Amino acid sequence: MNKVGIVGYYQVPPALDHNMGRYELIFQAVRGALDNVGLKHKDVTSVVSATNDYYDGRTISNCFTVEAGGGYMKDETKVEMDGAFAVHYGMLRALTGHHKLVLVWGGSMSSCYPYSSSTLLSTDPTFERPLELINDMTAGAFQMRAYMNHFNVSAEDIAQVAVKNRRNATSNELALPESQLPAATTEMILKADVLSSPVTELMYSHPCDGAACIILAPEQQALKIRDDPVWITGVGYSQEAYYLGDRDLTQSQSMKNAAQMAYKMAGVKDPKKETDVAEVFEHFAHEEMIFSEALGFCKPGEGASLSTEIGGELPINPSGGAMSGNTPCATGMIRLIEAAKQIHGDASEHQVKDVHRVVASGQIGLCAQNNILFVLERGGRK
Amino acid sequence: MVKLEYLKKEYEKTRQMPGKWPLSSYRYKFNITHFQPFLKALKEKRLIGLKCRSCNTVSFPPKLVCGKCLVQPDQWVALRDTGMVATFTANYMKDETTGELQSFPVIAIQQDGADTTFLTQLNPAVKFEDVYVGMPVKVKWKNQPEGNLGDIEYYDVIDDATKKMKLQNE
Amino acid sequence: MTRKRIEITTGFVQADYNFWVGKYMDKFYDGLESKQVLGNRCPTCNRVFVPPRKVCGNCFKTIDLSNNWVKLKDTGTLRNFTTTRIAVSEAGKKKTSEAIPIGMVQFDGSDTSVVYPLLDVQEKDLTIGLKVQVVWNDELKGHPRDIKGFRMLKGGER
Repeated sequence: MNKVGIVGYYQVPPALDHNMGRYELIFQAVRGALDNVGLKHKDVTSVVSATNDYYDGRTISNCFTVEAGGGYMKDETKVEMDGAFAVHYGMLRALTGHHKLVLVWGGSMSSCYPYSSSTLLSTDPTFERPLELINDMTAGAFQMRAYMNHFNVSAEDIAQVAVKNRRNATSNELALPESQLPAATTEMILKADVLSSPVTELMYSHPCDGAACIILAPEQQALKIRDDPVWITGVGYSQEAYYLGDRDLTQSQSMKNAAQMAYKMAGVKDPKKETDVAEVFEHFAHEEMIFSEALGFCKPGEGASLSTEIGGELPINPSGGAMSGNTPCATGMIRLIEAAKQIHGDASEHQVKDVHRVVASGQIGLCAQNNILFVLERGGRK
Repeated sequence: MVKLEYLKKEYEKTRQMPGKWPLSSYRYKFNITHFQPFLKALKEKRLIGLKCRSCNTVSFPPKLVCGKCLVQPDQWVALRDTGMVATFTANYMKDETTGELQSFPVIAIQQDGADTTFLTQLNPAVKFEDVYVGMPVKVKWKNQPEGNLGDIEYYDVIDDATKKMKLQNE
Repeated sequence: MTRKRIEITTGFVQADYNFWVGKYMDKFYDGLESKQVLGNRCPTCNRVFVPPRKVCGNCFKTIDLSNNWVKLKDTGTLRNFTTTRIAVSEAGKKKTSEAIPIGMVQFDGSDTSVVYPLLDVQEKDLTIGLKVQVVWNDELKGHPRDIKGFRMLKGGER
């Protein structure tokens, strides 16, 4: 079966409040990706963008970014979810055989609007919204307490994940400067401002401004562009029910389904042994543990037992994960970029040794309602 | 209440849940670096356009990114203060109380030397019936220009030299 | 070259809406007006839903409107709780002065939970699994706020 390879990528350094307008941010991401690989704009046949009307402050927001995003007179479309879902759509277009080069970009500026109030507006207007009790912070708090209570995990174990991610972020030159804490300790994490008990501010991936771009090509074309494209060998995608009260918040069934689909497609039988690095999009520190259990790296409730630092048995989020900068609509794509960098050996100070296979995930919705998982592999290996 | 007679189906009405969707808490950020020379020239009663070196398209008002070439244009060219009407239409407003109909012509002007058009107004004394595509116009500056697009108060109609030209017979 | 940006905060633009709640929720709110909590049961998998649904997601079948209604008691179990000082509608911008605990409560006899405030209690006294009871609002209008919140049931209270 035809494969699709990632041939180029670029991430604009994030900032809490960028001194740039929206079009310049997008232009930098797209131009940077094309220049990195030496490709020409005229060779791109399809553009997929990942933005959101509410985050951009205008409806049909991609009609304004056609020129800056490289879509002038090209087959351009929009995915109104996380960047990783846009990469999936771009991959499907490349697999049809009609597109030789697909450009996928995503990004938004969260300094322009209160991010958490947009998650309140995603709740049910006939029952939940009039009460004004649910947004992404309170939903995350429910999930954390359910997980802690069911498996008897302590808040210190969860804070350890935040410590590891914030320390990893210091080695990542493309991380948000405010997220980098080289001397983080569990005490510091637990004593920070409480957003919604028991979640504290340092356990939460703070939204910021930024953009990113990935370039995809089908197998033949990818090998003409470079000798070492990163192959996407497996994709899985699943979602759960909407109401928080309907779901089992102690585990992520949708991530388990997505992992099953992706592993089957990639031919992975033992995820813990066969994966070298995992880059997951964790909106809160406890979600990383829930995902590592759903991905088959450890038994349910034992997320804390895995050693996930850069030199450990299975490094998770060596770049710092979403805690190193959560740019709404681009974070999932950045996880894919970091995964590709690990395979290429380009991750400078947070590079893990000898990487052949990486899994990368994206999510959207309250408490990770929708999950998507990619399996990426180095070329030349069956 | 407007009666909707074309709705044939009878709808059983249920309760309604009112709410508000705040669109106003958005804080827009725009790049104005490429606008600065343009605004400075407007204050001095000059018009300049932005030219893309690769495709030679001149845009007025200036664009941040040239879509065809995917570059940021950076060459400024001086433009004459004359132009022509590229297209036009009219806005009709009906006064609620008197029922009087008022019309405002809205035109798209293409400056001589530029390749893009922008929407603006003609001299209020010009009647909508006299406007035609290709009508030559000229800028009428505000008395005290402040350095924004509002310094072009409106466009005056000038003599159309093409009306007097006769076609050469073969 | 220093770059400046222009910020424009728009004027007060707000879209007001009025959603029809639908026939299932309409019946649910009728029940709330008479201090009765209603749920509906999927005939295929026997799950009882609060608030009621038209479609059961698991079975992908519609639940008939005229029957399948279940009258539930006004007591339940506390499944989850949290306390937040940040006002949910403008999170990150302002903090409320008091922090009311909110919780997910599963009514006795139903399979799903609802999110409501927990009244007259401090977070340190809360554990998952406590028995709670509905506190009705003084004015009943057929609105989610007809349930003011839940209070803890002490000892052997029924």
